[in-house]
Amino acid sequence: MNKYNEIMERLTVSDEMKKRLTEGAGKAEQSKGKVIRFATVRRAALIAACFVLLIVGVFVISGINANENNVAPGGVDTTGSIDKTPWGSVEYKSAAELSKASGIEISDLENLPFKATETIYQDYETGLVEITYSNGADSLSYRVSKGDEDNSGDYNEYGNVYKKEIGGTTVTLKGEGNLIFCALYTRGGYSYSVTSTGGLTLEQLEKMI
Amino acid sequence: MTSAAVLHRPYSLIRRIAPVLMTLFSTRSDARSEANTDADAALVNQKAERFFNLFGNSVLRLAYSYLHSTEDSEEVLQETLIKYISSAPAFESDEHAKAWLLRVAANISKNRIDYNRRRQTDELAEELAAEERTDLSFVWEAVKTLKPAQREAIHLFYQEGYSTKEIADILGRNESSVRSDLKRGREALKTILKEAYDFE
Repeated sequence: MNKYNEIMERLTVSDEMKKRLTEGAGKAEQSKGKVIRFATVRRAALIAACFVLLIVGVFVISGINANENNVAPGGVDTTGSIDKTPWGSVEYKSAAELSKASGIEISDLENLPFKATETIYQDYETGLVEITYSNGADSLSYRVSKGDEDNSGDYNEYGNVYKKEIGGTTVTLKGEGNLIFCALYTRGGYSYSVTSTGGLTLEQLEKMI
Repeated sequence: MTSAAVLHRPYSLIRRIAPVLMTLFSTRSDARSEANTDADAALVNQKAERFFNLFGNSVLRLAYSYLHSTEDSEEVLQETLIKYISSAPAFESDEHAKAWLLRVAANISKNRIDYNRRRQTDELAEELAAEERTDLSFVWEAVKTLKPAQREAIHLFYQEGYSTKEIADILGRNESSVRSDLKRGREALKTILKEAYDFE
């Protein structure tokens, strides 16, 4: 049992809670079977009408505010170039910006195996930078860090681990069957990794790195 | 009464159509027997007991992993129980039922996350702090920093012991996305927890 399990074990449904919730469920069931009086219908209709007005009002006001503040409807500030993530990494808008800010040279991978609908440029501020490409179903991460340590963050154990010369560099490949999920290599004092959630063929990987 | 008179006295119109609407909205007879009500209550109690014994803690913990509030988690538990009683499909097994319930609870919880952010309550954190369990507090605070998608993957993988395929089925997501969230969640935890990291 890890510490997380130990924390969760503290949360249990008490007898008192069971009793309370069972009573609540019983009342909910009973209310389903009762006649809905007209006064209730009328009140519900008035409340519904108020909600409609409220929602319309909120949309109108939030639309005005979004325009005034250059904030997209999703709440993302579109004026700045960076965004701090919950665990402290910083996102940039391009590989060039990421390289400039981090001091670690990184450029976009070419010949991706899918058309990326989202690309995230991220500096973990620990000497590690990353570009993540995603198409909603699969994602591919490309990381660069100083030194020669495995920076992939992929702790899975794979059945097929081997080395291969690609473009004059020895690359460690990890995967299952013909699919590669993690590729590692070092070059010029930097460590590189490419990880794919959907898996890559050797040919696809060779075209990228 | 003429139609014009009705228009000038809208409540007269309401009184006229009220019985019709009341009939439309009536789903059961007013004269429903007390015996049937008792039978319904017994069935609710029976289903609730089974729900709590087999799945209660799992649903409560999943809800708490999203919402960090006992009160909110209890409300999710209540709503999930009501759905279990009123609209659960026929299940092939207890495992099937559990997966369905966790999906229901996850959806209800996610709908409440934004609302809960304003509450700033976390009784579990307070309990750990009061007991001076700094090791557990450290882990809990680290898990709380994860994005909801990473948190749910971490919770279902480590707490409930589901595979990434099973998590994807429960949450209605792509398995590769779940693998990605699990991976990123682990990485973030490893960065924060360092030597205290034990999510292997």
